[in-house]
Amino acid sequence: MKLEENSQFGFMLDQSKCVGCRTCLLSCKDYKDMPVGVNFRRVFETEGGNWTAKEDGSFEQNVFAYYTSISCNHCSNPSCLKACPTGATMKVKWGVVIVEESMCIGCKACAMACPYGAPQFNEKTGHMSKCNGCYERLKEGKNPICVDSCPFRALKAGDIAKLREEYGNLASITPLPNANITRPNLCIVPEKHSLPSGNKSAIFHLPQNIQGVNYDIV
Amino acid sequence: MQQQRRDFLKWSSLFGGLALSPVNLSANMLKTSPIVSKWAGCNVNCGTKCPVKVHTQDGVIKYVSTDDEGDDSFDNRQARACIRGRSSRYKVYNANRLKRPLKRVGKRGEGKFMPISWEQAFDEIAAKMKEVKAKYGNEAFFITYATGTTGTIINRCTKGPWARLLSLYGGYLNYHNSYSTAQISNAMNFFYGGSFASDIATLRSAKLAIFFGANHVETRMGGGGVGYAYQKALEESGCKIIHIDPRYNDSMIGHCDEWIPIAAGTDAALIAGLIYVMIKEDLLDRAFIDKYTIGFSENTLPQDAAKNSSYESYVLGLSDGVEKTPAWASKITKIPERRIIQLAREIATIKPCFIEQGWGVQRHSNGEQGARAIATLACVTANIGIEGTNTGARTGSSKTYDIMGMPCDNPIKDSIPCFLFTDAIYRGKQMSDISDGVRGTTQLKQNIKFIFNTAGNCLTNQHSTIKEVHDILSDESLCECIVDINVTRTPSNNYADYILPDATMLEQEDFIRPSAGYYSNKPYIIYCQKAINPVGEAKPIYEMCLELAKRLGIEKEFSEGRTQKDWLKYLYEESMKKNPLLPSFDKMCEKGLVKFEPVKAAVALENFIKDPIKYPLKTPSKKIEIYSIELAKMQKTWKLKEGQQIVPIPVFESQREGILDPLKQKYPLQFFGYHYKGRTHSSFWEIPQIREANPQEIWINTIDAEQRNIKTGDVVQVRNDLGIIQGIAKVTPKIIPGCAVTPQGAWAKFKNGIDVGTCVNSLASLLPTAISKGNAQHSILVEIAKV
Repeated sequence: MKLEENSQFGFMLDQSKCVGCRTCLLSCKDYKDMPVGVNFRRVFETEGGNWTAKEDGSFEQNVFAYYTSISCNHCSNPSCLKACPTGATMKVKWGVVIVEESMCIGCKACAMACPYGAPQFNEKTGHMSKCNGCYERLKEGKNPICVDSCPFRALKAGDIAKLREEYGNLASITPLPNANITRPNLCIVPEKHSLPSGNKSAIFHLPQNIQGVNYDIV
Repeated sequence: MQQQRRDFLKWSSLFGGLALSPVNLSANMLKTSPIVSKWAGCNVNCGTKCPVKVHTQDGVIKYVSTDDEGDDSFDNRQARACIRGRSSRYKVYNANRLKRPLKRVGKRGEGKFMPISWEQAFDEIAAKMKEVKAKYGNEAFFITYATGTTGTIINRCTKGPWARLLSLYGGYLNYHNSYSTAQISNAMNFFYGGSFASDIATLRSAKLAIFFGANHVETRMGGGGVGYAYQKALEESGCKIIHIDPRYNDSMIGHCDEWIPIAAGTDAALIAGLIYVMIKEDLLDRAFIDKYTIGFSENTLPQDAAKNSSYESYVLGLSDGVEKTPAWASKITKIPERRIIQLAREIATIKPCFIEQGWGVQRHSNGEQGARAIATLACVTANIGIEGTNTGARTGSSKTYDIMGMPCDNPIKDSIPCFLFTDAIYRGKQMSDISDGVRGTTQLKQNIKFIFNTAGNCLTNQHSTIKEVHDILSDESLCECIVDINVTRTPSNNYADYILPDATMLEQEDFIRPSAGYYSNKPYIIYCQKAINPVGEAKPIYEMCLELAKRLGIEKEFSEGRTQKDWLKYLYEESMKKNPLLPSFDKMCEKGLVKFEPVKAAVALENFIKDPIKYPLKTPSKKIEIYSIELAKMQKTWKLKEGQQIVPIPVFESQREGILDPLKQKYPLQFFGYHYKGRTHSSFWEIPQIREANPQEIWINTIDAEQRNIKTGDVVQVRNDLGIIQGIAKVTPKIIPGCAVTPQGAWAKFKNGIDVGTCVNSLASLLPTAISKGNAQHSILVEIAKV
């Protein structure tokens, strides 16, 4: 993947291919050397539908499910950047949003501002951290590590204008907020059950938010 | 050794001894040496064996990537490792990693050990081997079924060096079956005379696809495996896809048209209901059925078979007075009657129809019957042997590019079903062919007295009724010595007398190839180039066995003068004689990952359907046996447990802890374990980074949860008469009401008698199935309550 000088970087997620394996999440964590609790990529589960018990004991249902793998969307109108009091959050070449750790005071304002949960606080360093689109790899003409790791080829990265040409403009999908808020550089190919942003008929969650991780397991 | 210790100290100080978050590592190292990249592979037992590229700096792994070669078009696709393979660094530098040989102190099973030297470990183990051989004979040795390192040529768990060592020392008790496929493999032998299955890629020609409990994208999600091929084939075929499963599994995301939820273990009832409709509506090709199969109707039964013992007679109720109508099937399966009727018409009238089952169907107390019933559906609808069809079994591969294993010839032929190893410890001498499925002899000569358990967690965790197993294994008068070889501390090696630290695939040279060729139609072989020295004092098992061979006086016979590398060269060059496509050994070592041209997708039983006389099956009748002649014999001669039966045709059986078991009054929920994306069986559970992404969950349907006042995130207990497990609830519509599930393979951890590690096998019975004597670990009845 080669990015033109003035192009805007972005991601494409094909939800009809994403089966929630979370290889993207772990390959990123491994490559970026991030501890448990810090996830530059997160994979939401969305599920819904109802069951009806019939008189003869059988059941009818309209159950569905889909996954949404999300990192930083390197928004055109990033709320994290506006919230940062020190200027540590900044946009660099290709519109990539980064946190310059040496300038970050760890106030977490960016995390509170971002509706995608992209900025991640690293307890070890005391600073915020986040997906930088694998900036160092982009400069070498390579894909971000998550894209090359996807066993189902559900992720792509590159010039968002080209991605949108091929895959459309959709980015307002539950559980994500409406794209008008921050104008994420993300386009989504929906799963056939995918719901528009703000739809309340499905439940969604990040599994890691429900359970802690214990190290002492034997 | 000194060098290895220094390396170990280096990373252990960098990682604060725990290898949890090496945040400063990259900054420190960047200034020094360049990154070196080597190939290795993921060798746990999902069936796929994906390439792993290991990037090191100064002898320490910096990160792991995967196959990035080629243009990634489907025919030239990259075999991309999944989350499991990508976590290899965390496996190597793990808080639970074994670094030195350990010897038990205190009572067996307490899990207390002290470090000893390798010399002491070898001396004492060899001395104990001599003692056991003298006292009990070689039949007392056993290598337990295990899958923690498979697909490797030398460093593999149950074949390779251990098998060779014990064979040369006079032999050992064999096992047959597996914990994955005991029922289906036996069922298919009786049905087809072997396990035959099409490549998933033939789906591209199908018009309708029916999957029973099959979840390719989760069980084998690595890009080298079936998962990606399944998704790609479905994309290309545009055929209608129906999944029949108690659980809305991840393979239904994207291209699946319909989920038909079914009560667990009732597949044979659904099939009977479907075939009832086909018979009544005259939708069957009788000429086809009569040409290729026996026992469907009365006119093709063997001569000595009883009247009304055909499958058709069963379906019509001529044998038991119960017509297997869609209404009857609906009551058992919980699928609406109307849908069963429609489904029967769909399957019978659309060709080619691809019919497949995963292995979940057969891991039930009536599993052999369910497996055979699904195969019956494929046969009676004439959906076998042509493009776009499958045999009803789990899909297979088109071609295997195999490298020879280490030669070993066990002089002892006695063999037990692997699931009965705990029985063989306390009542081995009572075990016979017709009561326990023992093979190679009519009666065992000895109880198991010495166990080698390499890369295995089946001693306890992956076995059943863990509390009962604890009592058997902790009795030192029964099995006198247990040697456990692993890379990490596990619940199983708590029972060891000696624990030997094994080297991972990143720490030695070896071949890895897909364990059963599950890569669909694109073969590859990996040569592990050894990225780092073994952590601590860990050793490859070839070196361990060589040291023991020296002490047992069989060093020359064992090694034939070869090092591990020499063996790899020898075995590879022997394999080259059979496969001219293999590059030279030097080239293989240099390249690390060698991918071959894609092959044509195999269609199972193609020849048999073309010409059944020229290509007969290996069944007694040379045809497909819907009525099994062998099972009819076993029906008369075998001694079975109370409540069990063997029936020659695949009837729906109400069996132990099934949907119709009266025990359901006390324990109203069916419970089973499913294969989880975060691990392969119990491998990778030691890795916190994986558990964070894929935590252990107990799924319960919204309706059942409401009745019990359970919400997502609640701590709940799942209990039956065998045990209690505790974990976190996930309330979800993605499971049929009346069923609950938790991913199998979590590590058991007992606190006050309660398994807070949430290992499903704490609740599973040790009673084997009737025919194959396999593990029926999905037949569990429970009650769930909030703590």
